[in-house]
Amino acid sequence: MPIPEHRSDSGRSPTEFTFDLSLYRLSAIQKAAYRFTGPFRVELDRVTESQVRVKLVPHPGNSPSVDPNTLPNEVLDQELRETVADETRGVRELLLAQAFSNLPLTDPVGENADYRDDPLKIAEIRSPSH
Amino acid sequence: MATIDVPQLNKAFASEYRFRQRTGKEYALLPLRFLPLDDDRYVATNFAGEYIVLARPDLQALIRHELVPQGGLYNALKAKHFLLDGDSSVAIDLLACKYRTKHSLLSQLTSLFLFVVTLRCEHSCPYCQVSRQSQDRHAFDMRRCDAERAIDFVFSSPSEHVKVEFQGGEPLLNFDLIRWVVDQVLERNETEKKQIAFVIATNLALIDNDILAFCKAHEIFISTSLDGPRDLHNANRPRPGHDSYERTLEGIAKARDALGRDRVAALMTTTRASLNQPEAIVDEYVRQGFTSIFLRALSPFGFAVKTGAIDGYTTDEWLAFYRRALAHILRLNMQGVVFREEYAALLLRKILTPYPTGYVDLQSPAGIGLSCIAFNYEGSIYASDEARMLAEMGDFTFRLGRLESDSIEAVLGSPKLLDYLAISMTESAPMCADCGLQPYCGSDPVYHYSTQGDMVGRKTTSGFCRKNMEIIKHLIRLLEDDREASPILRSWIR
Repeated sequence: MPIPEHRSDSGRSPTEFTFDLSLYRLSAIQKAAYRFTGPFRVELDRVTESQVRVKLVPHPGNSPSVDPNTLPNEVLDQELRETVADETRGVRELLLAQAFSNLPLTDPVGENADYRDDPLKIAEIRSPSH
Repeated sequence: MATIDVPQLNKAFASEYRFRQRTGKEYALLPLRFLPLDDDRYVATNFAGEYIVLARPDLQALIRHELVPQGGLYNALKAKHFLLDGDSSVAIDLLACKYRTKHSLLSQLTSLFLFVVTLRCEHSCPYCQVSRQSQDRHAFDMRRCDAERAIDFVFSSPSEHVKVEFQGGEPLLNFDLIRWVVDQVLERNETEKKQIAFVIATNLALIDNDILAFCKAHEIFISTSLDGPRDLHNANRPRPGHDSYERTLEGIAKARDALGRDRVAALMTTTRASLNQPEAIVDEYVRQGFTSIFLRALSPFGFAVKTGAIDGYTTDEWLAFYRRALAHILRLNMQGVVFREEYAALLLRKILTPYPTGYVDLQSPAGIGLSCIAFNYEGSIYASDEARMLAEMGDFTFRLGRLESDSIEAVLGSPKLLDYLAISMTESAPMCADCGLQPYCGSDPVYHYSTQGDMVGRKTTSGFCRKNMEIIKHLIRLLEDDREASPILRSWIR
């Protein structure tokens, strides 16, 4: 797993990380950085075409309750969340539609047919080889 | 990436591939959220809110499609609908059914109606949100014509089960109106045929035999306030004679005699003086014969803000208090004392069952207007009890209308309320949308508006978020790691 560049961290001084956009989605970096907006002022800069720098500056007078060095792990978590969101977008829409619709969408034949018609051939006698 | 053919919306027939592919070698992810539980573990929740605790490498393996099929973890994730493979075809239907059940209260609209029959009170509690020390009935009592309109609202609700709760101030100071409302509601219900419950939220200082006889005849519940042992309760709840504790206990005894033990409940509010004595507070409830306690923090509304009492402690200090109290309650249960913490019980119902709770603060969309409506003494309609408390501080943001001029359709369908509800959904709120605890939590626009000036709220600094996250994670750790506590917590679910 690639480790983001860690520029500095000394107590109340700002902490900086540089992330490679070929490894991490910008949305994952932004969402992870947002989680640090309580104890820190968060600055995002595009350093190069393929790099984003996140700077966490502690609010004056507060000692941060969150360790700024956990940002890289947060970005990794956000990457996983983005992966899940991408992969499950379709099924999420299906689930919502199925949950709030009176019309069954996954198996309209089996759900709506008259049992006497046996559209799924449940009552059909099959040979042992089947 | 999986090659499993997940059913798609508007796709009438699954592909031939789906029926051939029954080996279980490939899997597709189902919607899930996750959050670190501690240094080594994550809690993941599925679409319907069922949870599983995973080590970080296992979570990564699941999402990267690296799990070994048919292993123990694989089967557990499959059984809990975190993944779908060619051998399973019922997950979609089951998940949709559970999700629909979780949100079934939405179709009922509100079933809780608060009648603030007076703002007057003979107590002068420093943390009280709203009460007034006044003998002027006309200034702070609800008018009968407004109560009559409020009853129209009650019967306009599509909900078959309705709760009418009388609030104050001290509502018994306007008991004549309570009596009139109960009689009117019951008379009208002879044709409407709803299931109606009445509750009076009272400090019991003014309870007498006539009131109790009426309550008994009309099956009215009593909800009172007991903050803990005598010194704490009397310090929290000053009144002439410094005898609030004695009057409360006397009232509880009388009410139990007249109505039955199960018709009298008590609530506590945590003040700074409470923080170092959670065990004593719980013990007081046990000593007084209660079988549960609802541990409540101060709310950031009304006089509590004005008097500075709300600054009395931080969310973390309250959480430490809560954990100590819960640990004490669990110890008591292990010693054979059957006793429950109500907030934990509400959350456990959300964590461990597919069923919803009507608790206003744990809803998405928010419970304002949908789970509760408050009719204030002066004829205004508010989205919740907290909304009318905010109004007493001069902020009418959550006023939805007036009893004399607005219909329930106009109030519940108002663009103002619908806007508030739309932005309140945790499914789309920053951080909440990704949070592994989203299915268990809720949205409180009134809290976030009053503390941060924004109804959605910034969760990184939100006391509401921190409180709920920490309690839910604490409960999940107990369920997972504490073999003695887990069955006790499970027994609290109703």
